[in-house]
Amino acid sequence: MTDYFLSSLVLLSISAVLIVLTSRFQKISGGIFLFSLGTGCVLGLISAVSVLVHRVPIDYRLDFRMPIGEFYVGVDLLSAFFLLTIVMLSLFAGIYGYGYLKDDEKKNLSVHYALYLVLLISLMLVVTAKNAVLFLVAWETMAISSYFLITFDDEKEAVRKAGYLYLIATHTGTFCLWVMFLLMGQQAGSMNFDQMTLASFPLPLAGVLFILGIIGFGVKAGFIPFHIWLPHAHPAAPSHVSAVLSGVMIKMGIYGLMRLILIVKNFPEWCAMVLLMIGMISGVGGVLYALGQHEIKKLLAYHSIENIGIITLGLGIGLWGQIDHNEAVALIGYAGALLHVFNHAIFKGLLFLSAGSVIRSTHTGEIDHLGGLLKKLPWAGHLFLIGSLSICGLPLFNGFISEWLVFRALFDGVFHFETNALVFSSLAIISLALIGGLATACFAKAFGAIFLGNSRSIDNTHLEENSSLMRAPMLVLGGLCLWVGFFPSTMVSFALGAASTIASLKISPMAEEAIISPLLTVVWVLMILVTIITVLVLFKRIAMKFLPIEKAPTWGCGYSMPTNRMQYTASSFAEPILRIFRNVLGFNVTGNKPQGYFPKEEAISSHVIDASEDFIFRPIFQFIKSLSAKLKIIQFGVTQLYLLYIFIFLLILLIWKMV
Amino acid sequence: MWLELALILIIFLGIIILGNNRLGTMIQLFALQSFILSMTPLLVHPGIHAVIMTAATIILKVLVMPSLLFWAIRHVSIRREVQPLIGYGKTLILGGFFIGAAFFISSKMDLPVKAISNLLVPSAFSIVMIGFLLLVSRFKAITQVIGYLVMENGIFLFALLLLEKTPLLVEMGVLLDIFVAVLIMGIVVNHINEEFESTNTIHLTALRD
Repeated sequence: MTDYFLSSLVLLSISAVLIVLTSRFQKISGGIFLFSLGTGCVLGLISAVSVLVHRVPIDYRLDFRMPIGEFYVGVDLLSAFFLLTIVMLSLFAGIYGYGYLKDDEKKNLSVHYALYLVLLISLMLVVTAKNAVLFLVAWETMAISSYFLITFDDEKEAVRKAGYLYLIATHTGTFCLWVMFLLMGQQAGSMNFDQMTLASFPLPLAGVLFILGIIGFGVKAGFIPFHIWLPHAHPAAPSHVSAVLSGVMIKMGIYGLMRLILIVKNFPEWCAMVLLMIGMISGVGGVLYALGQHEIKKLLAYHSIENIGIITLGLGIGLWGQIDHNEAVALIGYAGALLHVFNHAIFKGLLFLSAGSVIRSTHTGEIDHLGGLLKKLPWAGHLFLIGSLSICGLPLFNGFISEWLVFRALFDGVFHFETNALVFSSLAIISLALIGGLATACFAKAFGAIFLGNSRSIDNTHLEENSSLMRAPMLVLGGLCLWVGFFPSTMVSFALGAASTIASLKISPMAEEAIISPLLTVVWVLMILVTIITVLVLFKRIAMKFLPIEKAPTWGCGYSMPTNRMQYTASSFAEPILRIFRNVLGFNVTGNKPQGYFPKEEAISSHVIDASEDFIFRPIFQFIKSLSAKLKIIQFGVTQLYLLYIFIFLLILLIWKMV
Repeated sequence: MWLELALILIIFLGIIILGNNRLGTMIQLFALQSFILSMTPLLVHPGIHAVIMTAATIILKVLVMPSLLFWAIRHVSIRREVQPLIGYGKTLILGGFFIGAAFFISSKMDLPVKAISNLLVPSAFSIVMIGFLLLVSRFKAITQVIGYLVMENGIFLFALLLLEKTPLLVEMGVLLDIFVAVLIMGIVVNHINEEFESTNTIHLTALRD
């Protein structure tokens, strides 16, 4: 099955070059893009699924030595699971992106297509690299190609700034990763992952590696407080790129942590504690910040942080189970995290794509300007609804399945663990429940304000649904959400296989059955409930046929002269919840309420302050900036002086070597 | 005995180059230094290898490169280094200091190969440092090239230590590299002159941010 994977890589690389070469003929390069994307992703999918089904990892070494590295790729169960996620989302987002951009005549789209393929190749290499140097090379390629994809609309200043921030953040992370891998390589005597797995790491070293990994991978994953680049970069990018960034690229941070756990194996207990804490903070913080946003893509970006939090909760409880030698907790926790990675990629992809359709039709992403779009954009609207229900973790949608697994692992933790672990599992259960509730509120706000009611300031009358090239990928993603929600056993079993690889355990079909069967029962019960409700609704429909039905405008509310602006806005909808958390969030409302019988014109606005951006990183950046300004005095621009610096340095080295 | 004499002469010529401000004289002095330098392989290990080295060095460093440099100064019509970064007196003093430092450093250094003469390593170091001093203290692009070439002469002396062990091909390659470098620098100097109407490298600071 290596053949499939490798031919997919080769095909994608060749077509990336071809696309650049044919950039004069946009039609041809677009065709090559669609063809290679489709074929490459299907080939990748075949190899990933076959590894997951047969549970036999495959390896491939190319006799091509780099300094301290080699081209050594392999698809084990963990890689295969991520590979599956990558190709699924990239395929559909890519097709959508072609439809999204194809009428844009100002830009050189071929370069964009080629970079998209480069990003896809680097993502595939990141999850399959079995050598640390190859991994880091792929990691950097991923960072740089995604930078260029984010800055597609580089004529806007906000986009350039977002890209710059992303570049700084990702390189800070990579720095930590280099240190981490060098330490690991030194301990194991090789930069190959399989040799590292055989080495044993003393606990203090494992702790250091863990901290470096949390920073290095956490920047990419968007853990609070390292998330600052994320809410800027996601809205700046075109929608299909945001979908890939949020759906797959930030998950590479999670993949890295899983790979780290797989290699190092023995961690001190506080590592699991830190993971659970990060999960709780990112989860609750992400969804609260999301509630305070007024721009649809920024809101979705904060929801990515929330979901990363849920995934981290699964990872944390899994790690704790592994440390405590409780196999069931470890397996279910990891499986929950993995499945949520897949599910989040699917539903967040769907949400970004449908948000993109809205933005493409209306040319704005401000929630408070939109409204009543469900009648004009029924496809985008209903698919957005499916995505929203999934992200809230409601039953019969895919988000429910993975959150159920995480919940189950946490409850097992409560029953089997003692002291610290018990406290943390209970706290995590509470936070997870809080996250679910707040997410539901947030999507009630987003969906309600955008698709229901009447338009607030945009003229809705001429809006048209987007092309089928954009609708079809969304439809498939929506279908996948429902498929995993109704028939979870395939994906859960894949996730369990990958989880057993992380925990280095063998899992018997019996044990697997024991984990899946309660889930199936739950789904069955819910399906019966839904059937009953559907039947009742249909019955009501039929019964209503015999009654007169009157049609009235939405939001009549008994006013004699209503205007469209007399509706709930997204901000006013979220205000009561935000008020409760105002001290944590720095939520503040500016402006005055109208007073008296004949009030003057008043304006009111609310916003949320991102604490880690304003109070942690901005001061740090300011400090570094002033420091570098001071260092600038040695920068004269005179070549002779630079030579002098080199000369002095050489002399010092010589003398130092002698002493 | 003869080798020591040659080495001392080479250092002296280096000092004289350092104290000179006429570009033409500097090039002639460099040619003379290179000529003495080219004799050293014959003094160290007489043989066919050494003869080829000597011949190649004479052709490149004594004949071709100086004439290239003369061509360059004729073309840009500059005769003197007018305003050095560090004055001539100070450069000479610094040069003396560096030669002392070179002797000190090489007395402390552990070499994998036994040197033929006690003077060989210190003088190689001295010449490298004098070349570097030229690079650092002068502004005219031509002087920079000369500084670079003088430094290369020092490195050549180092290579004498390993004359028996380095294959001829490697040495020829090095010589070819230097030749190409000088050729390119000559052209670049010309272009700098055309662009800025001066070969003063201080104008290049316009690129500073």
